[in-house]
Amino acid sequence: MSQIHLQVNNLSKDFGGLRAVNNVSFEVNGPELIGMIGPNGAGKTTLTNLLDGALIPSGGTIYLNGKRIDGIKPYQVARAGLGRTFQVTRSFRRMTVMENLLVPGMALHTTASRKAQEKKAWEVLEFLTFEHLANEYARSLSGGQQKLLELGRLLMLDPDIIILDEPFAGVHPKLMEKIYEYITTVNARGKAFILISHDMDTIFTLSKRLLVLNFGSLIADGTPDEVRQDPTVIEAYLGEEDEEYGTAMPVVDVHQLVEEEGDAS
Amino acid sequence: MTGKIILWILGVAGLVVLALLPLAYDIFPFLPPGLLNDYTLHVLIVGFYYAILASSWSLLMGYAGQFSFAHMAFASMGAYASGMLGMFLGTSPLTGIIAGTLLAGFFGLIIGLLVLRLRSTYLALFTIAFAEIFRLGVNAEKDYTGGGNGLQMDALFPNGVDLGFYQFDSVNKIPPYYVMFFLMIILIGLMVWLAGTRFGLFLKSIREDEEAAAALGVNVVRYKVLVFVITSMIAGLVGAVRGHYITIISPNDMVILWMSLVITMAVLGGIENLIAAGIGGIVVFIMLEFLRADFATTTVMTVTLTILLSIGLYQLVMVVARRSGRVMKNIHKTLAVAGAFVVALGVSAAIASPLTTLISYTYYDFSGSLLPETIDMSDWRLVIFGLILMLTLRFSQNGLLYPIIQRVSRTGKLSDTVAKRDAARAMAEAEA
Repeated sequence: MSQIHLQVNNLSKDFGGLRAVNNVSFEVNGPELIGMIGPNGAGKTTLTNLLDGALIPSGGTIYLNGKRIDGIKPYQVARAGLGRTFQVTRSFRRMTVMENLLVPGMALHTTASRKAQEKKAWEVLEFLTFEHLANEYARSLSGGQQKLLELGRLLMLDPDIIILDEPFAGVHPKLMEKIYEYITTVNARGKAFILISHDMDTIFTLSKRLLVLNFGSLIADGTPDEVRQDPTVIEAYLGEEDEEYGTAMPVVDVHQLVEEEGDAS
Repeated sequence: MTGKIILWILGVAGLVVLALLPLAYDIFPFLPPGLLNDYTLHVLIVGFYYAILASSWSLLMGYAGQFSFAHMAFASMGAYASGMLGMFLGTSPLTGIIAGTLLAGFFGLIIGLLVLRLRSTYLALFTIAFAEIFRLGVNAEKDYTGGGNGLQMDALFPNGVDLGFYQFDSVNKIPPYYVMFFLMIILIGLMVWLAGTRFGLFLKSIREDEEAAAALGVNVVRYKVLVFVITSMIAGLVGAVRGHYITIISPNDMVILWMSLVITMAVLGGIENLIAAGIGGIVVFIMLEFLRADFATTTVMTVTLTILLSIGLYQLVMVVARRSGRVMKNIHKTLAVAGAFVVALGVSAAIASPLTTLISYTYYDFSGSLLPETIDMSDWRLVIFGLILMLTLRFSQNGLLYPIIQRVSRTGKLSDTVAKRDAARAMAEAEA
């Protein structure tokens, strides 16, 4: 497997007078598991859209595995090896689960037969424990199942770097466990992840490294422990310096959390 | 499985009947005369034409989600290109038809590129503007296009067709019948095949969510433009063939009304199924011609009364049954519908005539003239289809035909799915 390397240099994006992303630079080396946090409006989604090619940067460059990917179309970025989900679930509602999975499979392998891709899709369905839903329309799935379906589509696309925008928002604890499992398993298979989430507990537990955005700037980049100690982060993120910030961003084992909430429901 | 086989048999049987129709009297000499004549063939030829248009519009709208009002303009563009080439350069219809197809494809490419960023309403407005500009332009350029009087075109086969053992003259309906029939099979077949490939898959993903499709590696621009080019070429091709068959093309052939009719055909058939939309095209056009005959006022009264009375009676039966605590099975409901219909038909037939007379005289008191004996259907038939379109959009967005096809083809599949789902649930429970 080729070495995963994403390099973001001085990336900026202006919307009229508003600088949504300001001189952001970071690198992803190998199959890292990175969390991206920041208050609302910090520029997380804009940064994702810049990486994915949906937006064209006002300044700066992005290289993925040595290939420049800023300024090229989203479908080319996807084929180059960067996959993403959206904050709001965007499954193809009036298509079956199988068709949903075939779209990225067929798009990536322009000469592959449908049969071969279907075979691959069945493996993904098995991984998601979705086999019985293969011929259902995506719109008849629950919200959480649609989220899983989106993750399944990414497996078909088989990118090197996966950006998940709020994967845990509004998800049943049991399903949350499944998504958690997905991330760790796929990460162990050698894919890098960038997770965007407001769910502090999960993101601090899962990530080995955190990027903190505020007002479009990258204000911290380090391990969860480093970030937790970082005075700029505390000031920006929590609004004020607080002796008890540690309890504001507690470290809770997700599995324990799942069990507790699972009982409650 | 069995459902699919039934549909295949029905489809093939329908095509065989249509293929042998012009020869019906040769095969069955005992058929009553007057059943098949030039008019019936004409209705079917134009019906096939609309089937292709409705089907290709479905590929554009039902698959790719691109709502276009310009389809009829592309069809007319093909016809005008071919007609003008014939008039000024003296080219043969075949050359003209090929040129018309290519021209429509070229304009499809331009429109496709221009509307890339437009969605739903704006796309519809843009294509209306394009269609109207084209129509008005044709209307204005009298020297080249004949303006509102239309443009004379050569017959499809100017010298007739000589098969050796049989000769058809240039006005015989049988050669154009087979041309249009096979065009329909080939073009709809081609589109159905395309819809089953990655092309159809990507179109659907674009319809559902353009950004998500792009993020998953789909070249949205290419497929959106491509679908415009392909459907425009199909429209241009059949438009040119129809022009040569009718031997005249005029701006009146592409007024919004006819475009709306194509939309109605596709919607009534089912825009997410190309074959259903095609059948919708044939059926709606045949009905439209059938309704052209003026109806006696009492007939209209009888039909209206029957519909209203049978719905009322059926509801009454259901209410009584519910009050008495009886559970109605499907078979009982079917019987109730049939019974209500028969009773309503009898009652309506009995009271329609006196009721019409009564209304007629009330009308006389108000306006001083009696109701006409017959109703002029030339405009009312369009009203009927407008109403059917509105009701379909409100109550059955998948059309009237497609849900039936889906249901038949899924026979036996439903229990299969339920069994699979139950098995999965049982397994999940066993795990937990």
